[in-house]
Amino acid sequence: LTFQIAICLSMFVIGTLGILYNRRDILIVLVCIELLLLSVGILFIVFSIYLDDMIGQLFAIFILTVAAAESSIGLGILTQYYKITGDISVIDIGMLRG
Amino acid sequence: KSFLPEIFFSLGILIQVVLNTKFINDLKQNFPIIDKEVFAQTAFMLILFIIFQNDLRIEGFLGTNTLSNDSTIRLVKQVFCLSTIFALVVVNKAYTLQKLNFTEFYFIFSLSVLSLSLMISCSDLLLFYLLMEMQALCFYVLAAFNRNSIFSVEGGIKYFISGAFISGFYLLGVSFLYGGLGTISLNNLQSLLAFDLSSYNENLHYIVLVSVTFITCTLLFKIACAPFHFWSPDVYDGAPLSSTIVFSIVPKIPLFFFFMKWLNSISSLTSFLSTVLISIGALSVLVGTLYALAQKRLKRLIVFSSVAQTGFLVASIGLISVEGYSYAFFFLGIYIITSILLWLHFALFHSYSTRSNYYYNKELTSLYTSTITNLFKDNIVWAFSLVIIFFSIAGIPPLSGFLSKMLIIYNLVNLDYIYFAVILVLISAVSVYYYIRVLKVAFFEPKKENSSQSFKTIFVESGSDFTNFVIPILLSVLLLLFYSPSFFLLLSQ
Repeated sequence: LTFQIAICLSMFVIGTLGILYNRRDILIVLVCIELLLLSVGILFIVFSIYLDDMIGQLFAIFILTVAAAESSIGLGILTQYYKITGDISVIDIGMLRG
Repeated sequence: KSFLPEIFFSLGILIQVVLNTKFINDLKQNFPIIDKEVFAQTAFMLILFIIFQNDLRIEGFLGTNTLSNDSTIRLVKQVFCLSTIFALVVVNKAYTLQKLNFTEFYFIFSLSVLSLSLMISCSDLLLFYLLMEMQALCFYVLAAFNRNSIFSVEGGIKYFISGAFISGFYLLGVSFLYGGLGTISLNNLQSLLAFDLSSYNENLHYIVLVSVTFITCTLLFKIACAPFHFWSPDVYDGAPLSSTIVFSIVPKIPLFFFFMKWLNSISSLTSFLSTVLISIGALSVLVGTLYALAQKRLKRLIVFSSVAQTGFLVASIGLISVEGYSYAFFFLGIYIITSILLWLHFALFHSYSTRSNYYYNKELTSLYTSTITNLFKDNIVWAFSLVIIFFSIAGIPPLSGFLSKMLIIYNLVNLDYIYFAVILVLISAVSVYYYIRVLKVAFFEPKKENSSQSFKTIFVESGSDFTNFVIPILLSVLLLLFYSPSFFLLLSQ
């Protein structure tokens, strides 16, 4: 069991570090959010096998659905952002300061 | 059979979507008329939703212990829908000044209200995830609603990134809770945590503690409490005015209700929890006040003051007791009434200032504190209602804001958290400064030459002014009679 939990946790940590140490675009953030949700989904399935319970697998299917909807809305907002500014680099999101 | 109002509401949303898209395709010139109709439809559905809650036949469970519907929950749903109706009135006033005539606003708003009303009756972590994500997705769209403005879309991106990130943390917490204990329902959690956890597996206590921390952090994030409030100024400031009104009024009651349920289940884990939550509340009041002292824009001022009020609420909920919860509900009720009034005035100010700006060919700018100068000479009614609102938020005695804050501090002192009570009192004394500064600008500063706003036209539409007259009087009267629906016992599941 420890090995599977370690894999899922390392995927989660890679996802969060990807969001925090991101210097290129906002698209990387979206991909890392998908990584987070996927790693937690696999973690749920691991626990469901370990506990011999159905709710974990049910939760994993729900997570999959919600991740799909959320990434579609995120991409929509990103497209709109790209239409207004010409690029999606992370450097200049400072318009709302002060 | 037991969730008929929600089924009615969702069917109403679907019918509304279909009919309104058909009408918009046909009558392309008559946008504002259709908009008022959509508002009336949404308000009608919400009013029916409230009335249906009175029918006792809807009590019961749906799917063992995931959704429940007893008398407390029905009452909370009615209060919540009442607050959404008032928020809808304010949104309607704010909507006409923006050139955003998309009817999808009301659909998305109704969808989020549906998910929030289900969240009130939910006692399951899986269902809470689904409802939280549904509401969050609706709010991401609402934050970025003004598609041609960089502020709005940037606020939407920030909200989306931080919200999705935090829900990832929530899922991690739930997965470890599930792996450690084997249950997701809050009722089972409360029963299981009463046992001594280290007898089964030595590390179980720490796993559950970590997961509880993650889930509580997510809940604090959604409420916009202090260590996790960084999204709220940017999002609330950038979003168009109607979306900001929705964000600050509508999700508060269900989120706090679920927070209380969650704390009820967790309370037998550590005795540390109360101290941590009360210190987070004090930190939130401190952060909100300090940031608000430097603000020049009215919207950001209101946002930071709401962060401070959330700090008071979290500090009161942190004492996991019946009195703590009932005082928190009282504070929540007063806070929502003052929020509705404040945003109503804000919307009126903004609409008049932009009308005179259009006359002088300027753009739609955000509202600074200096734009409400000379209000005393222009419009005494608004000036005095602003006085009552701001004094109520600040906590000045004849108004009910004082009563709500005093009850919370009294409760804290009673349970020996004197250090935090002193911090709360001192910092709310500091916060009085920036509330009174707004009033000083309104009353005592003369009009500058190039400012072109005049608020001399008073009575425009009757719906808004009715609220304006009734509720400030209500605010001062509330000190005398105790607002009894909020002193009810929270659920004892």
